[in-house]
Amino acid sequence: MKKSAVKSKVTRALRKGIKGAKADIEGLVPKAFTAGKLYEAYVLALICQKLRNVEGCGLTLIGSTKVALKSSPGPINTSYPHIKVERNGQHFANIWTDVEFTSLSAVHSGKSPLTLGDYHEIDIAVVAPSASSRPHPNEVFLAVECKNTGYQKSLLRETLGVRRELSMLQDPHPTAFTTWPSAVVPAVPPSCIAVYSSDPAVLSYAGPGSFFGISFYHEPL
Amino acid sequence: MTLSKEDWQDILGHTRARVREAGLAEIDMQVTMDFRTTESSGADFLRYLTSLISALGERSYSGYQRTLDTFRECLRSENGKPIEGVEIRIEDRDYGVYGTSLVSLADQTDLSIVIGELKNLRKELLEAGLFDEEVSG
Repeated sequence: MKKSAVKSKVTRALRKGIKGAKADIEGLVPKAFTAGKLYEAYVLALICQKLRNVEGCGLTLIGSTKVALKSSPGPINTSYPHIKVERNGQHFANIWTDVEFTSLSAVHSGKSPLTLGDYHEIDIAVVAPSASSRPHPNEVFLAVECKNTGYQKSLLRETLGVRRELSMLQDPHPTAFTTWPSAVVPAVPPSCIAVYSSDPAVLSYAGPGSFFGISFYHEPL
Repeated sequence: MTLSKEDWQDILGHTRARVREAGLAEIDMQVTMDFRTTESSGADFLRYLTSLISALGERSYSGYQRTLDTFRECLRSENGKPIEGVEIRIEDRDYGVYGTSLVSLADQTDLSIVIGELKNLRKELLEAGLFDEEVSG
């Protein structure tokens, strides 16, 4: 296939696909904010799917009939809808979105009150049922980062920072999960970290991630 | 037949121009904002196309429906009924920015046709053997 043929196919695909929808697009293309939130919702749905199909958990949405995401991060707000996770009939965990956790450095130094650098955002957090406000690292079972923009090295550094403030590097320890996302991680407290991105480049960063118990997934919507 | 590095760079530029002409400049910006080019221009083009398809999905009713279907497959509300929707609750402190307290993610344009066309194009290019094995895999 020649270059001119590829260019023609690109032009045709966009013209044909956009025909008739263009007026709508110009008026209704949601903000990047909304797109990011839909991606976050999609990843949350994938997490629920994995917990149900691989871990054998039962999941119930508490406090609403609609899944709700927050506009910005903060402490756990118990008046917000969340997902209750049960395993073998026991209340195993809760899933919250856009929550902040208390950093390992703040916990170890006994710092109070917390200042801006003492807590960090998690897009999707699977935490112990008892976790409230800003969960401590030992209450975090799984922290999920969602990136619907181009994945680059600074995002890897950001995730490595979250790893550092959640756990110490140790020999493999069992996690709260039997199989997915990981049965063991080289960390104490043994929290799992997962990074989801719509950019295939995310997989290029899997090397250092696996060393520290971080899983990377390319999941386009 | 494998295209040259310059060919792929030209095709990428052409595609970006057509995307912007189609009124999707904001999406092009999102896809290229943190875009680092590599040694393989063919891989860069394929990455742009893949990210473009995903970015359109994030703005499309079809992407919302796929998300809702996945929730309905594995999650129930307290009364045992299927999940009714997905929404963003705007925090009080953010109200001034967004001017609303609730955003329903169901209010998306249907972009399924353009997404389908681009997926077909991607498949056709891969099947034509235009990319290195490493890229195609």
